Amino acid sequence: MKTKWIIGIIAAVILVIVGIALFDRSPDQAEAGLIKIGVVAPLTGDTAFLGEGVREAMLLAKEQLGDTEYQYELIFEDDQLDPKMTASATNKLIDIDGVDVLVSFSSGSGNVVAPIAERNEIVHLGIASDPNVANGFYNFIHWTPPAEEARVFVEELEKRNISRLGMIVPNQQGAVAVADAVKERLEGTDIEIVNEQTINAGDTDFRTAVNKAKDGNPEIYLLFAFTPELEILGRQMKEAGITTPLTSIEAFELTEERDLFEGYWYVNAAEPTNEFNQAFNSRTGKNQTLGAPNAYDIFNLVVSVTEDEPQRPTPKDIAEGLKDVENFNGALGNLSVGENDIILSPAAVRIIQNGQPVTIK
Amino acid sequence: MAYLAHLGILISIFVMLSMSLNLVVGYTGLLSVTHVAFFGIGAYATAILLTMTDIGFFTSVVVGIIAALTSSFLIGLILSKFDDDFYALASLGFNIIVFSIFLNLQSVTGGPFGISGIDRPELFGFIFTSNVSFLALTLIALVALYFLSHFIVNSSFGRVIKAIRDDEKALQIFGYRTHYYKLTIFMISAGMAAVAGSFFASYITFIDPSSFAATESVFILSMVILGGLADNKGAALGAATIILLPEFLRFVGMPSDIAAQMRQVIYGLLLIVLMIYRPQGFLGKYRL
Repeated sequence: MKTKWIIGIIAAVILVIVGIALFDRSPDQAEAGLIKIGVVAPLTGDTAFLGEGVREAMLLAKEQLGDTEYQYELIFEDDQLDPKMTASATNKLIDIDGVDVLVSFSSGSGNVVAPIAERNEIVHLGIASDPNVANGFYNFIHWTPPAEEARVFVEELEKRNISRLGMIVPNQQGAVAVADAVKERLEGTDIEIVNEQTINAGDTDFRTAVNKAKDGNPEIYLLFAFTPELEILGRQMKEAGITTPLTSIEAFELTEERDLFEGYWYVNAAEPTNEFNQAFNSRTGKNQTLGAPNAYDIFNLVVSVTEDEPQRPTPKDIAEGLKDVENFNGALGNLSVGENDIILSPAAVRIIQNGQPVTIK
Repeated sequence: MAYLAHLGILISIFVMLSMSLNLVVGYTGLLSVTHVAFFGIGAYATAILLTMTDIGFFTSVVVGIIAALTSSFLIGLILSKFDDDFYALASLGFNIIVFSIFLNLQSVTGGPFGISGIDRPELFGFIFTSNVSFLALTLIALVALYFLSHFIVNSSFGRVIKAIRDDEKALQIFGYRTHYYKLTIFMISAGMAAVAGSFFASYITFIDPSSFAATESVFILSMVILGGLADNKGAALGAATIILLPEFLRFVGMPSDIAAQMRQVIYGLLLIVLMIYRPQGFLGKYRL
């Protein structure tokens, strides 16, 4: 019996190797006019809705392509935002699929992909807030930096003469990065953080934090949580009788329950164009998700750079082309690649009006 | 080749982990769900030392082992007084405490940001940059740990821990201080897990608390159960299967909009079928 199982396992390993051999398409074997873009995103698990948004946005961008010199293939791999799965997906995309460009989602995944991409000299664009993801020649970030969001947010607080701020921050990488940037920006201003509560992402009962949040009598609460914690938090704050205005950085833009935040202003990482919002909505029947417009822009940026090359570009050509991008008309407005290989887009102040986000600044 | 080497590295690291957990769960019969905490302690020791000091990888592995031995001694003093379900619950509690430290001690661990830019090992000027060279190094560590584990379970000490699994009370009647044996095997197991953690941090080059949540302990436990309790080769087979199965499913052609979800469904179904037809695992002699 034991022998049978051992044989079974060996057979499975052989199958994997045969599978790899069958599907092996090294860059040398790739069709001359085919540019492969590998995308590592969470397509299953708790954050699958974000990965699905990225996938839909990139497919949308590909569908909207007109006549092009080169063909473009998108290959999606799931990583569940688990570093070991991210490493597996990245190695597979490079070694087996022979991709020319890698795209990753989240700072955690970006930090895993970036050194692998650099070592293999493959262009990598991360939808990530951590600037470390852009380290090296081949790595880029397409995300509005937390410092830019914080700058716009603090300016808006000052404009509205708000001096007492309450914050509810989940213990998540992106949220803490923006919260830290806000705190740094508030230094030297008259605005004081009178209350700060930390919550755990994945929890569903925030009543203790909500009750503690009343201390210090804030004039406005800054909520950093994303779906579904954001909506739970919004409901539990209402239940607790809190009528103080709420605000957020990015989060209100992405909620499906905008009635909870009707009339509240917030800062968005960047302002997606109406064309993108409508196209995304008509394709998926949903509002755009975090990172979706960035993914859309990344695809178009790669196409734009590649199409400029008279011969099939190498990853080095694509990286050099990306470094020179200026005033690219994207789903997030006018894009330029900054000194640190960060593709910048300006943050915007928006408000939920009649269930829809409207730009006010 | 790099992809195959990558899979080899992941399998080797998780074989180290499942083999070390097998010492506690399989051979001693203690259901510990805190193993990933020691994996994390080793990983963070290496990550912190390699990014903040000039200490090399191999020294960081030793520091990780010492940190894991110390913490496992402290928690083991408490855990070794428990049996069965209470042992599992108490060990889970420790896992949650360690996870919270990783998540909240931002000045040291980087909190939710984690630690990036962790160097690969370097020996006499040679840096293990390529996947193939790193695999060779990992295999050396794996073989060393395999023989250590083999030696332990076949020694007189090993016979006592197996007797604890079979009938602890009878052993106590014969005058054995079983607490001492349970604590010792728990510490050895923790030290081995820390080695795996050091290799993981240096290989992935980035760690954050998500890799060391309690669910990962269940992931490692499932490797041990699938491979078979109280068998080192079983633990290795279990780890290899759980790492390779989802990778194999990446090559099963499916439409891209359902591929990831279908892979998860097939993965789950295959594990259920395996447990129905082989509840004691591939090579196991005992059931949990």
